[in-house]
Amino acid sequence: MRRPTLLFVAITAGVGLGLFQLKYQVMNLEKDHNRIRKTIRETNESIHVLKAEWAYLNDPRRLQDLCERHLTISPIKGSQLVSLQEVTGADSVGIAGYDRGAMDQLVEALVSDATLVALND
Amino acid sequence: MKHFMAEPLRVLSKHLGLWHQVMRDRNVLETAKNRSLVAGAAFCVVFLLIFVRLADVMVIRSLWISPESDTPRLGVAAATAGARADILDRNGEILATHLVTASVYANPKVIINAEEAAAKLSGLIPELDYKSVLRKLSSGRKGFVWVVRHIPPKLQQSINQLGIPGIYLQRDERRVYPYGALVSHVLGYCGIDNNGLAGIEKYFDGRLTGTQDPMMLSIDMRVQHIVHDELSKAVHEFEAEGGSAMVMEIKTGEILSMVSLPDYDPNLPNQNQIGANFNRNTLGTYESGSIFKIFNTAIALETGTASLKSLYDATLPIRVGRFQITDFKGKKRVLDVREVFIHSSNIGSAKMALQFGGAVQKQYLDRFGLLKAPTLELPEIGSPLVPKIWRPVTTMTVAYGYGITASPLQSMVAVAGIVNDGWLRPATLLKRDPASMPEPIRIVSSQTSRTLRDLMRMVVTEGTAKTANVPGYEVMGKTGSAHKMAGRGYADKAKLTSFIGVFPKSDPQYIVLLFLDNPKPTIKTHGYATGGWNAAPTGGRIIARMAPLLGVVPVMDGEAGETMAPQMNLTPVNHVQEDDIHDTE
Repeated sequence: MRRPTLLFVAITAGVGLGLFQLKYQVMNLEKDHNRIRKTIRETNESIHVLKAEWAYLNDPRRLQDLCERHLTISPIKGSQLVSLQEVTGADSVGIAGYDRGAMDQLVEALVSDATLVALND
Repeated sequence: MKHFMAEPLRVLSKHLGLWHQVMRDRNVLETAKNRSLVAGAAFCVVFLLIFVRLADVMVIRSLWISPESDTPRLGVAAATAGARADILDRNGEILATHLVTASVYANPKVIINAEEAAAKLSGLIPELDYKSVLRKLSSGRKGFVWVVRHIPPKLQQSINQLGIPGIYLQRDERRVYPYGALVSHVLGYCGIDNNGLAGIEKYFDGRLTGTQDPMMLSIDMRVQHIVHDELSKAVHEFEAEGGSAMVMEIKTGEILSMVSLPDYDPNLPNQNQIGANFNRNTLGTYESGSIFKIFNTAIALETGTASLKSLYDATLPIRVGRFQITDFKGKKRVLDVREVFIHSSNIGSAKMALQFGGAVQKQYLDRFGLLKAPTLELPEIGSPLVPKIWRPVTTMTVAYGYGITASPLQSMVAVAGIVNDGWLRPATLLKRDPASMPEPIRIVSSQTSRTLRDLMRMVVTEGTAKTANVPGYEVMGKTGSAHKMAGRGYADKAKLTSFIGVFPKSDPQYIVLLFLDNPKPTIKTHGYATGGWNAAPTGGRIIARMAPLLGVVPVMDGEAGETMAPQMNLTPVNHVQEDDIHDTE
């Protein structure tokens, strides 16, 4: 056997072995891939069912019934809504309808420093 | 000679032979060389192709495609392939979705013992009748027969454990409606194979089966519940045969709520009571009664045949052939336009209509969309009944809402157009993108719209709809009570009462329309059964509950709104009952 022949045999064997390895690696990856896909599908289906169940549990008729039986809250009345201006006593609320200053004043008026500290901790 | 020639000839022939030999060898070599070249080239080309393709797949494509966007290959379908798209409300609450179930089918050719199989199956599933299952399983000719559709997981397991040969499970999907009857008429329902048979499900059948993207409706579940709740209570309290109510956002035409009672559970479409799937809001058309006085007054003011100062004598009934037009608890005096509207005077309205005449009336009603079927994303749309010949008596009765029918949807859209500064927008059940709004149509002038708003506000502050007033929300409206048809004439007692409410007056945002079918008088209503006594308070309760929820800014007294009364020095008028029509035959 001459040297080049030997070399070729070696290379062929190496490539063959490499291909063999690669093929099995790919097969394993495929298997994993399919398994993960299946899990994803099952999870999606579970989420779907849970969403449907959540919607069912959120039926406003049921919630109203529960509220009437267990809580003492009633629907909000229009007279319970006041403008920010009335609360803060500011002369004018920003034209854009959102006045940072008035909001801060409101928070300050409602929340004492002690609570703020407690909230931030 | 021979001897002399022989040698060279021999030499020559030898040389020639050699030359031939050489030439032949060279040819063979040449051919061999060529052949191996061609073969080598072919191999090279094929290998090059393979190389290029490999490079394409492994290097070039992998640069473009990320593993996340990997397309699902065969055998690994998407999570909910082939499923019907969900339907959501405007806030993303699920109104309709599907659950994965399984269905049981059988191959009678494979079943060994049909009696045993039928007994086992009917024992396991109570809905199955032994005889009918046996008949299905012993029909040996067919290779496929459904046994039961859509069974829950626990049953699937039990059926699997029975292990009867020839009984199989198939993955299936079932349409479910988490809110049951709450949105029944809007959504409609599906058949057993998830094909839309009514409502949105039918109208958008192709769209829902075509893509997976959920569909967003304009319905707001919270408002739908409020309307459903209050309307049910009213139907129950006044022992009405039914009722219907709608809420629409005026500026966009989006319908927030649509309730029609009696209703049904779309999860069990085969178990409805008769008539429960009739949508009174869109399919039913009714003689609406006094709500038409809004249109009548608008036409009179718009055409200029009447102004707020015009006077109409309502002292005596109008006689037309066998009819006479009367006022219910009428004032028996001369009334101005405002009083005609607030007292809901039929005589005054009829006289107002005669001033502008039938042709103009027809033209304007057409413009308001009251003479043709409205557009909405539902298959159940009723067309109005319009008189073929428009006689003067027709003009007079149409003025106060008789002799012409309209669906509540039509009336609501038309009134919304009148109060919305005269801009009419067709209603929709789909969430509208503010950027792609359809162009509104101008139906009346801004001035007429403002006057009508003032008049409708007075109906609530001092007229027939006092019970619909909600402090802070400047409700304006109009009540109506129409006698129902009974054979050739009108029923004496059976009425269809209605209330249409719009709020807030300074900037109309929402419109509520509700009908009660044949409400009975109760002790609380002092023996009356007119719109002001049953429909209006129900409407008021609906508005009081929904307005804070939708973030409508309440207007406290003395801030805005009530500008008309001081200007006109109006004296408050007393509560007046509704209109009436007497068949004097």
